[in-house]
Amino acid sequence: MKIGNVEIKGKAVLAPMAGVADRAFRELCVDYGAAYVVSEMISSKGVSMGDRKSKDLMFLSEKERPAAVQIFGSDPVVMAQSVESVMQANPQIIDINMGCPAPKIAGNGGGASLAKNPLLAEKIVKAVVEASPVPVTVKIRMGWDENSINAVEMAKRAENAGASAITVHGRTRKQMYAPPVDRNIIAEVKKSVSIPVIGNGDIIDEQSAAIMLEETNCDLIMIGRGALGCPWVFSQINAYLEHGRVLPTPPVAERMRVMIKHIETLCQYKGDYVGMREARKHAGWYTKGLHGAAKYRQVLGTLENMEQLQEIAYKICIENQ
Amino acid sequence: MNIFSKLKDFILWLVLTKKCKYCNTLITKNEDLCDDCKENLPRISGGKCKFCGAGKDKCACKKHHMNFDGITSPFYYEKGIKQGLQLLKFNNKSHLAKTFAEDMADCVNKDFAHIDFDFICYIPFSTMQIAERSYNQSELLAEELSKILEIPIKNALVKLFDVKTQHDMAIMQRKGNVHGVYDVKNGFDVKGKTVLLVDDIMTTGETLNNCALIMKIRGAEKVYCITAALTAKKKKK
Repeated sequence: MKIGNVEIKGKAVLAPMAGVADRAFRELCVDYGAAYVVSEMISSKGVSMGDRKSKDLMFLSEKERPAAVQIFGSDPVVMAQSVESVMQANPQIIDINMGCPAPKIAGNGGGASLAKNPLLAEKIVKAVVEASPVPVTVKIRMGWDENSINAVEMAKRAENAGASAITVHGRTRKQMYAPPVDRNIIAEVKKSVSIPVIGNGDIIDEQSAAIMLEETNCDLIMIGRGALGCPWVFSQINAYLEHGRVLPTPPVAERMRVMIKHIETLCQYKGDYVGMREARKHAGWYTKGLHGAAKYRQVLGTLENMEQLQEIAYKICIENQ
Repeated sequence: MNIFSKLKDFILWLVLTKKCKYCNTLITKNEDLCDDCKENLPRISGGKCKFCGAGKDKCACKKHHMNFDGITSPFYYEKGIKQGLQLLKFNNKSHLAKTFAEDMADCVNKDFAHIDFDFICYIPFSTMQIAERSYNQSELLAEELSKILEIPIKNALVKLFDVKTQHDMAIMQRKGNVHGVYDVKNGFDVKGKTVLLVDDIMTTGETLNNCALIMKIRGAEKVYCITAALTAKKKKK
């Protein structure tokens, strides 16, 4: 399986998630067998103006390869200009964000709102492909709302403009993340284009991954929120798709061990202050569904140091034995 | 034991001073093992359950997940082995540690052949226990094991306070007894390490379970356990 000239091993890809899929989480997912990872979304405007924070955001380490950097923006010229700075991070793929539903992105003409203007979207893809030495992929949604579902048109235009792969999220901008994902539209996109299609949305375990692959006939699957607090979902999906084996969910002690390891690397990369604050949400996800975790989640929400986390992890393990 | 057998033992001791290497009883012939141990040593043979360490025929754990990654043991806690381990534990027969360590080393070489251990550590005593007893039998076993396997031994764990010893309690009461009792020594770095944890006897596995858990919480990558013997549980029908 190839995207452009990049060899991809495996089927499950880690989705770009702003504020979540950072370096620590991406490295963890690659350890568990993610086929490739995508960085958090980077503002093309910011990066072309030399913003320091954007540079930190798109930093890719050697442990997380192959990797893609995702950029967003609404101006073809700026998008093309940003490619030069993005290439400093040495990504294997550049991904264009046309699916972000957040008001601060979509409200400014970028992200999912490009679905309302397919001509501009095509121009952006064309400009980036011309400027980029690496393959360019596009991530789109089903459409803006239920009255304007145009994923097939967008995909065709992206293909014409030279994109190497297309990721389709089976919801509209208006639906945000709530209703169940529409797999038919992904199947239609797959039928209408010849480049690889990556199916995305509502993949949480090996069954949903297999259903997505079977129903839509897509080439790869992309996992976003399904991997939060359970990065081992990649190894489970790989084992199921390659050998037909269902791996059990790791025991509680193992889950807590992975959580602590993850948060330690997070603190190492971002410093203790920022690290512990970002750890709060991760800790919430890792302890989700465990017996007695609800009463500890309040403490987890105000996590200040590693000792506190270790103590709570110990208590949760004891309660779940 | 009546007076005559004691007298017999005493005379034999004067003449032979040869003892069974497991159960420490006097033997007349020039051999390592007594007749009883030779015939029915409760060795765990065949395939072992990877969750509880017992032989597949005697396993009653229902694949309950412990916090350690593997457990192995050469014997069941029965017959001559029971006698020997009790002597090792309570009667100052510390030389027995060596014999048991040899069998444990064989077990490690067989069952954990593919694993690279960073260090061996053992279940510690509390300060009170150290004062009361002359030695820690788990430490002796670990020391002998470390000599044979050539893996460094480290005193990584600490027993924070005294609780009623596990062997004095009923099985059902043992579970909550050890929670929070053990911890990794302050300042000791177990991050990313693969550890071999040594204890003398496993019955419910609660002590080992708790020690493995706290080591994992403090960052150990994998924790494997080895005991000199384990209690065979009765299979529920």
